[in-house]
Amino acid sequence: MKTRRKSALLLLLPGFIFYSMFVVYPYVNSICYSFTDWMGVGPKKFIGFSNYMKLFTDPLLSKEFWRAFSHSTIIFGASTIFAVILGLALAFLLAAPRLKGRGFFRALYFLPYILPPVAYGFVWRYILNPRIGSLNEILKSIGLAAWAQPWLGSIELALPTVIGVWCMKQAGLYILFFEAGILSIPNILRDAALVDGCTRWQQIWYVELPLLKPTFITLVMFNFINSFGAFDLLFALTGIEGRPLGTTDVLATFFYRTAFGTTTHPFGWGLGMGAAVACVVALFLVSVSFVFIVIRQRSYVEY
Amino acid sequence: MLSTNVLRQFLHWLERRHKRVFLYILLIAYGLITLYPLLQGVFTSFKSLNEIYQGALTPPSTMHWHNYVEAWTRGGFGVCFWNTIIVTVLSVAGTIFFSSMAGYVLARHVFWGDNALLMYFLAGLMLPYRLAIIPLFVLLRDLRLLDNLFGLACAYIGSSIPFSVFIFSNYFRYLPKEIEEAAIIDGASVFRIYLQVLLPLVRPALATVATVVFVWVWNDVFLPLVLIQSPEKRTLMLGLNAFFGRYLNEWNLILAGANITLIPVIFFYIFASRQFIEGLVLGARR
Repeated sequence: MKTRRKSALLLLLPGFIFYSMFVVYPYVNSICYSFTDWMGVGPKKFIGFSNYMKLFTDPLLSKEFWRAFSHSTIIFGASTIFAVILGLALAFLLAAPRLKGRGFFRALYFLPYILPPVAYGFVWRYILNPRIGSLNEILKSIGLAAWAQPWLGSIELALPTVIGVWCMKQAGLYILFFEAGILSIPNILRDAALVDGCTRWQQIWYVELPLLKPTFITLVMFNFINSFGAFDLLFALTGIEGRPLGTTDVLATFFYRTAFGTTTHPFGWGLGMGAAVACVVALFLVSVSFVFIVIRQRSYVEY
Repeated sequence: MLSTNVLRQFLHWLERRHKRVFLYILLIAYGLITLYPLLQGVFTSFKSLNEIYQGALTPPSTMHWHNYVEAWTRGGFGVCFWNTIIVTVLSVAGTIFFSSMAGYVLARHVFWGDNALLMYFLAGLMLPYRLAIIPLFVLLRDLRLLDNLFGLACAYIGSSIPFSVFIFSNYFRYLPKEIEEAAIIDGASVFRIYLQVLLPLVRPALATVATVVFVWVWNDVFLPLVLIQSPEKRTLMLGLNAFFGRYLNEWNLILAGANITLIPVIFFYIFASRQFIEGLVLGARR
């Protein structure tokens, strides 16, 4: 039995080594780097909490950090609202009994979610182009010429536009999440409500929605980590600086610029400061996720 | 007379089935919204640059297949494709191999600290992997794996392990005990039980993990952006991004290039959409 256990642990080893080396070690090392003023080469000097102090007090840096943080929060909030309204509505349609072609619709709605964000973002950049893009032209051709906008180029509209594209890409996930939740509710509960004389709306409101609470909390949690980690699509739509004038800058792009800089500002604020940003964001994400996990555990329902 | 009869019948049918019809109209309408960007992208990629500047909705005069040829050669997509395929294959194979072994041991063997170890693996699900990029960059530089496709694949394998260990251990846990016991009596080693007896029984888990890792590696631009420097080692998304920067206003080429990178994903999706959906709804936590 002892040799069996030894060979079993041997099977565990490669995964353990890869995970420890390329995931755990870097995360832990981020904490160490955040206490140094390292620029990537040369000796590391320990500077205590200076990076953290600077991140929250330096006028330029803290302004950019809070701006990026608020944009990430807005993206999270807006996409959650979108998920609850459109995602839930389409999920109920998709979960209609005896629906023909459910698999087809499901696959169709989910398609944008799996597409490469960079390529998808570039296609949208063409569609939203103020001069030659198709969206403005469609608006003009249906008599809404006044609605034509320089979507991604306008300071007021850039963030809402980016959120719109982000929601279009994520929508499939929201819909299928809720649909899976709806389909997992046993029919016997709906029938019981029907026998009691419920209308379809009452059935949804009093039976199905309360039972969807755990699904909803799980979705919000995933959406939270997804929105605060969003990079690729935003990078494709408005670049690493969050054009125009940083109005679409989010935590991931801010983090990248702080650590690695841009063409005009080659070294950013150094790897030490970048690591400090990573640690602050990670601490925030982990603590909020814990809150979600606790809420979710309390909301589990038994059928 | 006949037509009014048909009309009446149609109205009657509509009255009876109007809810159904309305349902399908809504579902199809949203489907068209979903498809619209892709269709517009394909449509425009066949136009010449002049035609694009003349109007977005006019159809191409002839199909300019040439856009694709030009994008492919000028953007160096051949090399990028090859690089991405190498990284994707390495990452998918490595992830499946390492995490199925680990998942098997964690699910079916009892040893001191087994639960803590599972928690250790699952802890990686809590954070976006991107936050670890700085020490990862330094680590790969010290290992001389920076600007190296193998180093990139190592990072992808590591980052995929938490999710795939989670999937594999769940699947292995619910296989009946008797199968393993029979194999032990027949004198099979632990590795043979894993490889020849149990692994064939968790094929759905293999498909789930493979699709999730494929989508993550194929689509990602963040890690290559930091970890790859030389143009001849660019992945597809990095190549597309560079291509966009170089031909900023030549939308015919850019859209053709974007479509080139979309085609393989859509192709796989058509054949395995169920696995994609199951895997990614489960793996949404990334």
